[in-house]
Amino acid sequence: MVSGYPHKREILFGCIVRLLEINATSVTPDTEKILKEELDRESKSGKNLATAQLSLMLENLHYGKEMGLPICQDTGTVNIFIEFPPDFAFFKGFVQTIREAVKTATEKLPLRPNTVDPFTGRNEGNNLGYNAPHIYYELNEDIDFLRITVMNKGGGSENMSALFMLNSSSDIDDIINTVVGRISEAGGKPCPPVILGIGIGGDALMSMYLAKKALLRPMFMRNPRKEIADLEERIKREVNRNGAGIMGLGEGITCLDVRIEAGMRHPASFPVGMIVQCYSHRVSSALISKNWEIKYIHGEGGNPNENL
Amino acid sequence: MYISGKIFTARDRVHKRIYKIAYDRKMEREEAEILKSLQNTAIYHCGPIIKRINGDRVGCESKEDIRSDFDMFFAGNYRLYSGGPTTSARMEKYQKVVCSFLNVGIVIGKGGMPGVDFSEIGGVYLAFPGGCGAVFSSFVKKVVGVLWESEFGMPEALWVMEVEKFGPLIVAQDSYGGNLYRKD
Repeated sequence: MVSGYPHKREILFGCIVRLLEINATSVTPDTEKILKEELDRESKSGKNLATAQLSLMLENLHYGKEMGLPICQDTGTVNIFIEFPPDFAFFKGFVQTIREAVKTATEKLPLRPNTVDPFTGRNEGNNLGYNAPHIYYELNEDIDFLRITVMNKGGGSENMSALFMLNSSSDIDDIINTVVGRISEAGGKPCPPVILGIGIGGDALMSMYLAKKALLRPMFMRNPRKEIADLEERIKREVNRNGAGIMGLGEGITCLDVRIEAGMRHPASFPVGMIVQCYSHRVSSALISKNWEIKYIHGEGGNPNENL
Repeated sequence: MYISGKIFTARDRVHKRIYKIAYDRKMEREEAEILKSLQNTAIYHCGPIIKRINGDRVGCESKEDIRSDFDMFFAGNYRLYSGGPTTSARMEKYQKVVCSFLNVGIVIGKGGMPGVDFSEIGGVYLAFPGGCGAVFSSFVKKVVGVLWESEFGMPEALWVMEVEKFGPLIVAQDSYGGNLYRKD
């Protein structure tokens, strides 16, 4: 068993910087794969606007990765999800280490400074500030390692997110109409093609949290519950029918994937939370064993039953 | 189409500031000179990632420092790391006044500006795909300088740069009423 805080601190620090570096310079592999498939499809159909844009988008991904440059200048809001087993030994200075890593990554990669005081308008310059970076913790009794997932979440797409407190007697069609209506209004603003994270039920807070967590899932992984999986497919089909298209210019796919998580709702409430993600889907994880060995996974949170 | 020459970035805060200047005509002499030099260039809705190559990066000074510092336009050696477009629709209510005050008819961005009539501006809206920040850096010959960085921060400052063959840009809204964002 490795002892001593300095060692753990260094590992944690390096881990956060590395995850931010992966995210700044690349989308998840499954996202890149589906964009390539869309380009193949569109170039055969003769849709020039879709083809030209997808082509440039893929060229950008390639160029960014090759040159180690941030693929999108909006390196986003840093969202950190920490899943820990019951006996994980946190240490004093755990959060401070994460904050220092975010600050270093901002300077080094570089990330764009994206934390602004809502009252003074002052940009902190280093992606820190109060309640920043965003760190979420969950106890997971099914793992015996620490899982840190970082998502760099762009602001443009985030702006199209919404919480709908639907009528408690709402049904599936109401959910679909609400979501489809919102995405339709959004047009090109969230940089389509988008990925939708949706939280159904819970309460106002839980539904938005579920929506954001849903985004961490791999591409095309359906919710294990059949009626939810069906709803995911239906919403995707509906959004794509008459969708705004790539960058809202009317051609090509509007929505790549829909991911729904659900929770019990109050009898009088029917919250539906939606977080919109752009095509520049940047998520990566690190699994840290009890011996503080790290394994990096580019993409989603990984299989909870995975052994190191 | 492709664009070569001088362009400048302008997003929420720059638009709001120029809109205000256009109305109250209150500006420092240096600001007036810089803004005048932007005539007949192009506005790029963008919050880039740019670092100073030499010297310290200017962070946000305190409000007391800002007005006393006449070096508002920092010319220097910069590197642009990434600079894709931001959502143009946010600037809608300021766009016409800003374009007319600065005498600029080309607006580059993403997502379109449904509330702006480009025939009134006598100009065009050119779309560049969002997220294409890295490849944009390959079009930048030189970052000439920056205005209002200490006040607005890196993403919101007015960055002046010279580009070469920036594109392909899609003419998405023109001065004849053409609009690719509308579903007709």
